[in-house]
Amino acid sequence: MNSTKRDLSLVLPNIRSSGSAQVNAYLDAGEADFSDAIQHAMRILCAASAPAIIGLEYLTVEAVHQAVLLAQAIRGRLLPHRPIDPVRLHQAVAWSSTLDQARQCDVWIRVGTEDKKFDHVEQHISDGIIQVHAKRSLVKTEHPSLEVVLKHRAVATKDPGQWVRSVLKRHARSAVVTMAHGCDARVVSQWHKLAVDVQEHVRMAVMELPSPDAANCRGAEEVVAWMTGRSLAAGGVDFSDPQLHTYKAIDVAVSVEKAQADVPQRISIGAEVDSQAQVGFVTPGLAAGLAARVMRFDGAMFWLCTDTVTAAPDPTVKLLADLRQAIGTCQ
Amino acid sequence: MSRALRIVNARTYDPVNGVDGDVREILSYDGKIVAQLPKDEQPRTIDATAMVVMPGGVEMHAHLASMSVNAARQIQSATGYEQVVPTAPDTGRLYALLGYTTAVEAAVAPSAAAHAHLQLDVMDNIDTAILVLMANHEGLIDRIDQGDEDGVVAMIAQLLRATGGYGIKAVNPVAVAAWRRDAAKNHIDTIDDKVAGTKVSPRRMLEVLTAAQQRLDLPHPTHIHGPQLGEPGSVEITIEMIKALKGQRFHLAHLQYYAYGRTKHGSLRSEVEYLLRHVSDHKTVTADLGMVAYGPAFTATADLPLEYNLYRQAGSPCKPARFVESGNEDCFGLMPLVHQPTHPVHAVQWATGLELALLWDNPWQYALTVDHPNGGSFLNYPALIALLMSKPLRDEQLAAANKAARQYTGLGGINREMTLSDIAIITRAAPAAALGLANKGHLGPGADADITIYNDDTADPQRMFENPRYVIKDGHVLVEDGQLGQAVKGVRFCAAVDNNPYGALLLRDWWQAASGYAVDQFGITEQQWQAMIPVGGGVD
Repeated sequence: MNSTKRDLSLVLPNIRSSGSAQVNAYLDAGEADFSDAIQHAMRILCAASAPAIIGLEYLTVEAVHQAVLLAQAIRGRLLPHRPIDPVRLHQAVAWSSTLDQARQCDVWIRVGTEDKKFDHVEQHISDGIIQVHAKRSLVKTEHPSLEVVLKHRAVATKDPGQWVRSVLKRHARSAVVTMAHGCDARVVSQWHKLAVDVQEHVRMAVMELPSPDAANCRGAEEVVAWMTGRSLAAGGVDFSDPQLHTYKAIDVAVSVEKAQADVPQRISIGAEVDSQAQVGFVTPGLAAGLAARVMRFDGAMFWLCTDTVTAAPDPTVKLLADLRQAIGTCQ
Repeated sequence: MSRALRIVNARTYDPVNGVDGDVREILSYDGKIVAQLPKDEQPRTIDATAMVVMPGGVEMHAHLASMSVNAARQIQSATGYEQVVPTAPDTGRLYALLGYTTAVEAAVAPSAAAHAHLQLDVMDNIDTAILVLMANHEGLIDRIDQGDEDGVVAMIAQLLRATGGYGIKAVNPVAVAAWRRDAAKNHIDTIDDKVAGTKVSPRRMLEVLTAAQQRLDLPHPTHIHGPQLGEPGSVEITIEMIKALKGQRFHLAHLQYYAYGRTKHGSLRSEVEYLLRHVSDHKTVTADLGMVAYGPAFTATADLPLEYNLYRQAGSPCKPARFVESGNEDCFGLMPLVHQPTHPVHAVQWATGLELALLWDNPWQYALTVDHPNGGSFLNYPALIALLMSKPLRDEQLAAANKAARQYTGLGGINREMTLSDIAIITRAAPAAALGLANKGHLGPGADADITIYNDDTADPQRMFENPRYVIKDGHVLVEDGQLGQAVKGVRFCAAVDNNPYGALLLRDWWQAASGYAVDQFGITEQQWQAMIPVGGGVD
């Protein structure tokens, strides 16, 4: 595996090669001229009363930027496919770390993971941590219950030094707690608070592992935040007319990668043809070889290619820009 | 559209060129100030009768495009906290509407440089640059510990080149690294404290960084956020640091936070006069004020020990605080904060910032900043300028503030009222000079045609500075009658540093050992670097 693919495997475990960086257009699942498809999509979007772009996590950083501009142009919504978890952003305090920090710590506490159920992200991180820690790691596994973490906190709040001595059982300089994807937000929050409690005794950080299909979720969240000041994780973004008093159901979805079956009309963008979509654009998606970027869950930013000079740009960027330009001609 | 612009009847404040309110004609052509327009050129003419003209404002220390401010945006959105950190596009718009045309992002971790540049790419209307965090970089600490001075310089050169950085930022030098190694060590007591297991101290780190800046001929000297920020007694370690760097060029960031002694109760007492006696002796030192404005703020800093201690002291479990540790370079912490006039610490900080500006008799040595968003939003500049220009206004606000501001600062006894020329220096000329941007901060021939025109409304300086009548960027009229027009793309400045093969080798080897991903993913591309404007190294 080359280094780019190795790096990307933590973001996109089953990454495929881009092949030709082309966009093929479809109308009602039949091949169509690209310009005709853009015009058709434009008409659908212009007639929509509550359009949405869904699935930003399956776009590159560069394409998310264009998707935000398109959503502004159509006064639509921006949403991820995955369930929204606003609780994460309401945590009183969070002490997290980059993966580099996790790889260098003395002690590793795994919460909510049984070996049999390792998903690719945890497996990959575990491999990395175990490799680094072969000689000096202390691995503990903890049940992901509120009761367990509250017991720890009861000791640590009273005497953080005692907690470090009793739980880590040796002089530890630094520790990382990895929380398996899907842990209860209250449990995650308590582990973060515990990390703050003991910070002057052990440099501890908590790392929440992403779901296996998180894709470029972090990249989408970052771009949406700097472009709109809003948080995708806190409920998405809505550019509809602020004077509207009713929240309309989505009537047109520009869905990326995954079909949105419960929406009357849809425009699909993805690696496969969506047979139910009125307009479809088949793109390379998040594929290796494109001169575009994605972000790992801890904030590291990766190119999808090894040589940005020779690699083709992500064609979805141009597709979204063309759609936005077409919207500008809407009467 | 004509490439030429003529501003007539302009009461001009251009301190670099000795113009102090004289009525002048200002000409620009092709984005530059010129002495004469080409023959037959028909310029657009702006009649600036009853208006005041200054160069475009220069923001030399703000947090605009780092990963930490982007996290602040998400927290603001999720919690309904006041929007202190604008979006990236709005940041450019709001600076333009305030008459600022250049702004520097003051703290970007090397591995987050690509992220910062993407944000700056959509920040139209202002020219920008980034300062790169280096004082807790484990690769540099290793190299310094080995005594490899050439290696240190090579690695710094390559870090700047790979990130498109403009200058070196030192945040609480080696304190983050010291805490990384020893959980009990979350405070730097003297500048000779050493990182456990090494010979590297804050003093050594700063000596090395300032020496490297000199060897690389960087346009802006090492930009230092020192130890003990905001602590009672911080003035002593700051003076110790200034003495240690005697003879070197360096820049002290948000100096207000280091101007403190300790009251008998252990709280903040202004020691501005004492600090200034030492700073004034060092003509090679520049600073920015880092004033505090009342109202909402967002602390966002790479000084993790500081942020942690602030969080512990604040004591509220409800604050949405975030700390992110990195294994090998600077990290960040952030937390919202509201500065209140009734709060003793906030009131003293507010008054000390004003005192610092008013007692410093050489305005060429410092720049007006609020360390946005830490001391409040940059949108507070007009209100702070009004306070600097009006003793009665200061007295009124001082009377309404917590009594600690009257008791522990000398603000009430200061009669000085700054002039428009003083304001032009601390918001334009001085920061441009400190940044080494020869074409900014003045209106002489060859300068960038970045011009701000205000209504002549000195009776109400806040209103005057809040609403520029015209803002001109590179000769384009960007703001007209207070309305923002067609956006103008700004340029990105970077340090003129060549690729350094030895530095690249050291960086690659270190990165390979310290990080989990390929060094090729690090920083910016050569195409991105080529699109920037290199400054320094003999290049203007």
